[in-house]
Amino acid sequence: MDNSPNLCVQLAPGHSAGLSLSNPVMIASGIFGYGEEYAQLVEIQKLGAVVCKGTTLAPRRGNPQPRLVETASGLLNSVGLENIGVEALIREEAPKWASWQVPVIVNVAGETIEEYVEVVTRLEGVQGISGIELNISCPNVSAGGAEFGMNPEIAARVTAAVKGASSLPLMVKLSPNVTDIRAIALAVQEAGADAISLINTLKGMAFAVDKGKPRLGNITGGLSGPAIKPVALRMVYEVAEVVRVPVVGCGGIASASDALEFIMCGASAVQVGTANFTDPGIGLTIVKGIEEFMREKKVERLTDLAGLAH
Amino acid sequence: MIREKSIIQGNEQLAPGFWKMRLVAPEIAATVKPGQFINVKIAQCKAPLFRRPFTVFRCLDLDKDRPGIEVVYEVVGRGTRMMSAMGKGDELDIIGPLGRGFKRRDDKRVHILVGSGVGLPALFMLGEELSLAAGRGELELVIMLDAKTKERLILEEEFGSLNGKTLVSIHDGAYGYHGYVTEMLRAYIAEEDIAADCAIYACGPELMFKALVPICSQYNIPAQICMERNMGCGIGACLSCVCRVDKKAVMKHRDVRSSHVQFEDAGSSGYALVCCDGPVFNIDEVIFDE
Ligand SMILES: Cc1cc2nc3c(=O)[nH]c(=O)nc-3n(C[C@H](O)[C@H](O)[C@H](O)COP(=O)(O)OP(=O)(O)OC[C@H]3O[C@@H](n4cnc5c(N)ncnc54)[C@H](O)[C@@H]3O)c2cc1C
Ligand SMILES: Cc1cc2nc3c(=O)[nH]c(=O)nc-3n(C[C@H](O)[C@H](O)[C@H](O)COP(=O)(O)O)c2cc1C
Ligand code: FES
Repeated sequence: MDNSPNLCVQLAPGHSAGLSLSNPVMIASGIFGYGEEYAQLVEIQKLGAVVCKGTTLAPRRGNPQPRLVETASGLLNSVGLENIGVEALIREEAPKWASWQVPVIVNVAGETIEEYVEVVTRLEGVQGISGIELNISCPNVSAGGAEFGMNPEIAARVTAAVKGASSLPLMVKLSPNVTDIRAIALAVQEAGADAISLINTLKGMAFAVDKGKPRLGNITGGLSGPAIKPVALRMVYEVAEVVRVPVVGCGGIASASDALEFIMCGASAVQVGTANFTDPGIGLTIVKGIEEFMREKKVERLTDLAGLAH
Repeated sequence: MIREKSIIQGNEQLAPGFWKMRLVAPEIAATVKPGQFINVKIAQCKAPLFRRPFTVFRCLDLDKDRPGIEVVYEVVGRGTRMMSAMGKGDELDIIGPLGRGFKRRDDKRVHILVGSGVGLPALFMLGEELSLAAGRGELELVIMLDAKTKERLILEEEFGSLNGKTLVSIHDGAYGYHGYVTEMLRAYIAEEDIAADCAIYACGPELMFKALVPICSQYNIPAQICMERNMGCGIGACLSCVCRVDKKAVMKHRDVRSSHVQFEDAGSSGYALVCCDGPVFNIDEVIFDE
């Protein structure tokens, strides 16, 4: 008899095609690029899903260097949405994904609602893409991102516009740089989000005293890594309390126990970002750890653990 | 590129602040090329969080014919301080070999290595290769070693054992040429009248590269330089280790489609990734002082 615990999750129960994952561990956007770099080091096909780098309509060169500094238990980055653009993604990357077992979710970014809509319109019908993650929260590009995610009405407007233009399951990724994350979460849910992921990076800064200037070329950047986990967990807890759609937790997750904290606080799945840089195998280690925990505690389905905290 | 759990075979101080670590790393030793690097996870706990990149200084056979590698490093912060406290038998998690290393300019007769401080180890494997060819009379090897003070001069003996001419510059004049290595280089090229038939390979601080630029353009000498950036992934996925590059020069030197260089549609420059388009670049590709 097979008594291995069931780690499957459905992230878009309200969507006709759904977004079904074999386990709840995804790789966060901006970490694995378009997947194949890490495929040389890790069995990425065994992951729950991979979210690709934030993609805009035209290619973007991104921010000046330095783009990355290590901080206390964290990482400040100001990559600034450098990416190859949606056309190159469709031409060069998506065909590879079509033969993959692991679902690939495309993270979409833009500077205007029209740009978001145009990107997802072009992604319609492209083989190899299992879902959209709407990045309304990138704090790096001064002209883009942040504004959409900071205001419930604008967040709802871009969500609704994209929902209307795309037949793919839609996950909306929230920015933590807001006063009341629940208001934003409710707004995007009402506007048609199939799932909500959070958090993106927290806006931060580091200064080089010896040089008398900021450490990042872009002056400010986004903070990620273990340092932000308590903030992320609190926000996931708050959002899961008020929304009906599945919540995907992200921020500083670096072990199975970290992931379980998010799941018990209401997340249906998790995304792992920064921790991959230190340990490229961390995603699969976390899957194994969750499975062991469930076995030990005789939990049959992952969904039985969801939201124990509420 | 592979990930190895590597056992430390030795870790010795070369000079105040400079160390050499010997690692059992059969798979990396089997494939590493001059100028490539490894990414080292130093701590078991969360500080420092990230891996640290180090060029492979050389490959060697450890006892019982086990292939190993050596890295030479300077203690500059937390991570390297922790490394210097490690010893024989300790385990390190390393990923490598990474990056695109030096390309030998076989069309040139005189090959000049220009290294300063902790940039010197990045040139040694190339030096070994060139030394073999020099031994067969195929080319001439000139090695220029630079340091601020005599105490900070490392690897003089190792480079001195190669088939080449070794010259030393020390900034305070305590030994060898009094001044910067780039001044010594300029004088040497003029004296020996080799400008038309030489290639330069350099590793050191960015200031040194900037001083190389006018020399290379004045004499039209090809130079390859080994760049440094803070790295996240080290394998071309996170886009954090960028170096601003000139579009025309990049198009001239490499197949852009198989590189990670990202240009904006209209611009004349773009960003290359140091961890996989580099760390070695042609000097005319790099735009300094961004
Ligand atoms: C491709 C490559 C090859 C390298 N090869 C060697 C080598 O062979 N030997 C050697 O001694 N060093 C080498 N370095 C530099 C080495 O990686 C850094 O000195 C090291 O990461 C510092 O770590 P730390 O924790 O001791 O210092 P930290 O406490 O992190 O920082 C101390 C200082 O080092 C600087 N620093 C930190 N990380 C880097 C980095 N990745 N690159 C440059 N500066 C950094 C910081 O800005 C700071 O000023 C190489 C770097 C690169 C990118
Ligand atoms: C280098 C880097 C690049 C990132 N790029 C993106 C991106 O393009 N789009 C996005 O939505 N989030 C991006 N993020 C944010 C992560 O997906 C994630 O939300 C955040 O890092 C918090 O998770 P972590 O602490 O596990 O890294 C990036 C993060 C890092 C460190
Ligand atoms: S360090 Fe991640 S792309 Fe170079």
